[in-house]
Amino acid sequence: MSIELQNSLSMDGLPTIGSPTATDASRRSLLGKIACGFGSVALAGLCSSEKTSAQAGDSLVVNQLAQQTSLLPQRAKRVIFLFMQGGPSHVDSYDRKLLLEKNDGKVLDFKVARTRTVTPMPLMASPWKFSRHGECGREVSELFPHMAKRADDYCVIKSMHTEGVAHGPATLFMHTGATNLVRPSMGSWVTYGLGSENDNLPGFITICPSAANGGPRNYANGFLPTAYQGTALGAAERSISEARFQNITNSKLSSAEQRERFEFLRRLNQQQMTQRNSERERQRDDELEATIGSFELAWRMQAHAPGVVDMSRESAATQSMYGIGNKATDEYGRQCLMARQFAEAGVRYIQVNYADNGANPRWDQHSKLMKHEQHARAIDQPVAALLADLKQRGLLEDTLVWWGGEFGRTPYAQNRDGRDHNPGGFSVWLAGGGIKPGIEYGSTDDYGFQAVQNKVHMHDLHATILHQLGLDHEQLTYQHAGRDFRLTDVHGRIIKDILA
Amino acid sequence: MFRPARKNSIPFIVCAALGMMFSIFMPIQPVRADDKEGLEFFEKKIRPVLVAKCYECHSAKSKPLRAGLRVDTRDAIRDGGDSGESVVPDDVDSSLLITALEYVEDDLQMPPDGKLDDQVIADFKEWIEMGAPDPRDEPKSSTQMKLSPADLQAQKDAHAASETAKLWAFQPVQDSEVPDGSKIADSNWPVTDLDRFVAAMAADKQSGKQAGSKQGTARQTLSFAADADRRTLLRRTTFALTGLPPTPDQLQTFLADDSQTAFSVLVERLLASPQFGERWGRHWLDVARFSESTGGGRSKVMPEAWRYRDYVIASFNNDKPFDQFVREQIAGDLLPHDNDQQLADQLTATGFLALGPSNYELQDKELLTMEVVDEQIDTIGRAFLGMTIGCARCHDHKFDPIPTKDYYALAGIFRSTKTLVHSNVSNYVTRELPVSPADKKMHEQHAVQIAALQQQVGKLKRQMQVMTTPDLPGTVVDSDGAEVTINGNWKASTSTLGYYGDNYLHDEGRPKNQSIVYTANVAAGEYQVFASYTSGTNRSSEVPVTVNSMVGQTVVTVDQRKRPPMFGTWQPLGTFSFSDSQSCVVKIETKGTTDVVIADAIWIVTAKQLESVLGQSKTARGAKPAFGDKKTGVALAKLSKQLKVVESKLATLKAGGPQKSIVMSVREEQKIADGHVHIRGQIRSLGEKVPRGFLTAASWTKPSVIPPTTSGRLELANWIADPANPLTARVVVNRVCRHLGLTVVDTPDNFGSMGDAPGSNELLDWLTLRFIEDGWSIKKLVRRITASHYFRLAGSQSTGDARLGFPRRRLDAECLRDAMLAVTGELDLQVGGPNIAPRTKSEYGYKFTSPRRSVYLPVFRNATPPLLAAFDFPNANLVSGKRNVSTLPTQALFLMNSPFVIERSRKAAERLMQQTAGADVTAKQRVDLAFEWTLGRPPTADERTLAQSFVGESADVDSMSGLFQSLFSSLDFRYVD
Repeated sequence: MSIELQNSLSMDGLPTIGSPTATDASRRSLLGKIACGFGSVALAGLCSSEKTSAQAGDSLVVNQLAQQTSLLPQRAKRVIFLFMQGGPSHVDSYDRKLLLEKNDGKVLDFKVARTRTVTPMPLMASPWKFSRHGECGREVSELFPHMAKRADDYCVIKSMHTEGVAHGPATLFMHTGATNLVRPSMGSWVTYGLGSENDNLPGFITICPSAANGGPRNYANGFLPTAYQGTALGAAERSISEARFQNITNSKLSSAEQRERFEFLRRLNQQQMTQRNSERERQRDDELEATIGSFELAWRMQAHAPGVVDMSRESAATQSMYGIGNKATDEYGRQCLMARQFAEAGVRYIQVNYADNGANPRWDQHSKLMKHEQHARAIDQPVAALLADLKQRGLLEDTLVWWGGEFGRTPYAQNRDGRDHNPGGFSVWLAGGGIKPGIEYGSTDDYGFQAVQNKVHMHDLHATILHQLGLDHEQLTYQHAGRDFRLTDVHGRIIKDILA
Repeated sequence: MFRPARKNSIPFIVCAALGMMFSIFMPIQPVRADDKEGLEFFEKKIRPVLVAKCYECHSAKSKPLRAGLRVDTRDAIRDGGDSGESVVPDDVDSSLLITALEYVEDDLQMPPDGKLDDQVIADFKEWIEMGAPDPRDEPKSSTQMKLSPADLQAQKDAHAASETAKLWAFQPVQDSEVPDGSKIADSNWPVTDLDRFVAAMAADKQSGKQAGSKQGTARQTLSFAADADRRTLLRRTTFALTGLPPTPDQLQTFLADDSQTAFSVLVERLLASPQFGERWGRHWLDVARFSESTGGGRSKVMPEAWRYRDYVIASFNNDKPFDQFVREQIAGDLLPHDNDQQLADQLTATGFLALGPSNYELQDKELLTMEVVDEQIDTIGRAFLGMTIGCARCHDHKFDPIPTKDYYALAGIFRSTKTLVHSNVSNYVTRELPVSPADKKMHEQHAVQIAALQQQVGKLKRQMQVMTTPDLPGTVVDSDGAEVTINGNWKASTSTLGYYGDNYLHDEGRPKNQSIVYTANVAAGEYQVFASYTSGTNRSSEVPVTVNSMVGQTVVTVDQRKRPPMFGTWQPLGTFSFSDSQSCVVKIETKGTTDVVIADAIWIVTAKQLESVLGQSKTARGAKPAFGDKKTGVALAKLSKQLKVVESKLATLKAGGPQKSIVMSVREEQKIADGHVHIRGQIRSLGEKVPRGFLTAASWTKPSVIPPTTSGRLELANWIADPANPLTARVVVNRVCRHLGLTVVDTPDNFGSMGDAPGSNELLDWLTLRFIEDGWSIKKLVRRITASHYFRLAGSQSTGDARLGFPRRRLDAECLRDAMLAVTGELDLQVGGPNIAPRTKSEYGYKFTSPRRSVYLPVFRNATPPLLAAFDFPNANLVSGKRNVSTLPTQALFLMNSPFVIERSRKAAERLMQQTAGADVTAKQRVDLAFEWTLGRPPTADERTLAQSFVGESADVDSMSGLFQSLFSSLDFRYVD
């Protein structure tokens, strides 16, 4: 069959997989049998019925990343998650507390999450001023002047709570819905549920992820098939300008030599295939055909993927809007702009990490809270630019942007001038993708310690985001170890009040 | 505001008792006549809140119904749900509804989206105190009738029994006649009895197929695929038994041997080679979710894990009976042993229980303990029994006969087993292996040297202690005195200076129910009371100290992390008066503390006496020696210098001496106890107590009684490894079959009703019984399967259907890497030993550069070698009896562009060029050799033409490395027929 295809070459000099020379039957047998790790070939619906019976360990003989038709109306086609690793302080960003300001230094009893005991702790007012912004009049601290200007674009959930007091458990919980047990990452669930929108790129990309606090487990497929694992581009603490998809180019050979080798391998494999067929097989081996097909897809990705991310395509104005070229914002600016390019290219789930590899990550100011300024400076302008850029390109309509950390911080002081972890109450914001912009939802208590009104658990946030993607969090299941698993376990409520 | 007249008119206790009587004896309670106002109150204040805030999850219409609780009828709200009675009329304290509304417990807070207004909660309390008047008088339908617990249990048991009856895997293993093979077209085809079973299985498949088609003919003869050629058979067998390709020499030897015994000679050679254990050990390591780091948030490297890996490899090489292998991994530390080597092996085996994935950073240590227990139960269930017991943690198993009670019966066993050492970031338990006789003397000498130095240290410390301990006026009661009552296990110590007398006592951080009581008879009067302790960062910050005086008990909380203010030794507890009849009693407790508690001495002194002491030295509060003159100070400084010298000697000696071998292991917990059911899996939501035990549905043998003093692991191990256990032997036999291309049950870790049914019960049972008869020998089982005709069929895309042929299989990640290294000549075949680069603190950024076999590459949970990650190496967090086989373009990219493959290709080309350095070597010869090395066969004519035109006339290193890379990527290299 591959020989038949040789006659019809596409622009890349590659056989066009959907070319008319391939019969329907052979097309299905080739395409249907490749578990396209990155790509899919518009097989929507073809294999969806097979997926329901998928089990761990099954040989992957369906195109698992074929785009799936969602069952619910889809308000968002993709997610960009701007992960603020370490836990930015909500009482210093979006959750202003007048009583905290008034009672600065006063010692009050708090039930400390780490020890589960009531302990007297000194309150610490925010060192930053708050002011109102946008038509919605949202209060934002002076830490985030650019994000403040876009106050009307997003919905702040001020009553988040989650599980895990330490970074590792809480970070895993945010990504996988479990503090300790091994579960697939949210991006894996989403690509499992929806497939990929593009042929040449992974469906789930995480930019510069951290190796710490769960590391790869935060973007791993857990018990889902390998096709749904997140692909890391770059790594925390390394410049994104050097980041490449692994093994996407061969620096040792000229492109002519690579083409020559590729052609040789293709013929060699065809030869071996023919030998089997003619000599001893009673039936064709679909898996072998799929293996040959995987080289063709790889070749195409090699040709296209590097071009998807290309800063030089962007105007100087766009680059400067993201803060590229400015020392403080260059790194995260590039990552955010890259995220937009991936969104345009149809990547389903894009995570942009503001992270490092330490045990005490970036926003983790147990002392010297003032360091928040340095982190805010690094991300504020890029994030605001991403919102503006997505909006002006019409992408914000169907892209859901999520900004936040794994937990918040305590209103009381730790080590005199820092704040401790706080899983009991914190803020995140969501923009685009059918979320009501310019509103606030829920609240914490008088000091910002515990979420009290309209509480939103991390499971609820997961359920709501899946809902916007057209996925019912109770229906999106995978059978493993004898039972069906979900991202939200047996929990999760959709926060209907924030849906547009 | 409305207040019912009878509020508080009945004493509280009576009220509560009445409430309970009502709820027990009068489930359908009529509305009290005088409660009209009460009903009004309900309609106004209670019903609207229930409807708005609770009905969504707790009413007849809720899907799913949460916590088994409905609040939409009077009876339902009173009966409550999984956690107990929700509303107990007249008894606010017993009404779980109020507990939930008040948000006082972390695990029971309702409604989930935020606490209701205080006023609303007050309304609910008032309503309950009114007797919870409620008109919602819905008759119970028969299905809603609440069964008594006994009936419910009976119903469950009956259900479980019927499930057991249905499930094939729970049936005893039964021998069956060898099929006659009458359907087989060629009567010479079957070589062994196994072939007759394989043929019968194929016949079943064939007739099954025909049953589905319209024109099924009842009788059709079976014909099978052709045999594989000898090169293919050699390559298949060598990979299957050792995970390596045959070397060119082995190929020549095998091809040259045309005797009848050639194949069995080959199998024996492979079984005897150390590479057999490496390959088959790796199969088990997949199941054992083997790793060398903890995974989780802050992943820790486990430098001792390799010993478990070596134990597994050696067990397969030595053909350790598999039942023994099972027992050792579950209870090796409790098994008898004849010699030190056996003890060492058995201790090492228990690493199986310790090396699961865990988030040691989890701060809720109670939860962490339970998560580890859960992981152990789940792993044991799937690895040995093919049962998904973990499902029963939160509810009775929905598909298999495993009730929650069974889960917690097992949990009791593992909660009585110590796997963790808790601290901020917890750790696993390690144990020392016995020292070999050869090393014994060395260790003893070293121990003597250390003891001598430790003695010196102790002596110096004591000298210093004496010099800095003043003679105190008043009364001192030291912990080693007669007037002291010690409750629990306290350890005497002198490690930290600043104590009074000879030593102080240390609670070692646990258990937290100990105390020490000091009694001093002093003359009546007013005294200042002090307690001494040695401070440190690992001490508890809230130690409760109770002083009994004339005014009764006074509790003083002492922060033992802080240095005591008086001479660095004494902490004032306050001023107290004692009478002649009331002696001074001081109690130091560990209750409620989280870290180490120190108890040393008590000092009772009058104000006047104290003044005299303080007058002695103005520097009393300083860090310098509190008492004595300059001379003492000088002497003290000298001693302190000596101490430093000796301590540093000691440290050097300890570091440089012979190291004891350490393994990851477990031990029996100090406290052996049965556990409670955790309702819905919540650790703080305790249900009934369950005696430790095994699966009740699986009562094929008389269950052995677990003694009250041991965890029950030993009994569990024996129960699992019992030949009458229908699961264990079947599960392992099935695993071995799958690894040899014979698929019987395709869900090797799940023999439950959600798993696959066997392709042939008869085949599985027949093999299982032979396996048990053969003393649970893996090697004999391998012989039995490889000796079959089936094993010699030509390859095809099939899963164990002899009509089509032997299943073609992809080289797995390890075989792929090892085979490339074999071609380049780089492969290092060193067997066993540590494999993580010394001084590796973190897996992050680890360089996997070792040329050893892949089984010896470190397996880290958060950092997998790129090649292994790309080619479906199993997730080391999960039991993986069956690996994924994915076909991904990332794999193709790896073969095309990864530095590893590019470098191997070049190395192979260089090696080939070296070996063919002669002037008259042709391109054709080089091409032929490259095919022989990689594929174990010469090229076909077409392949040769293709390859020669690719490498050209010169066939130089560059073009030959291109050829090698293409061969590494080719179908015939990546697949084994």
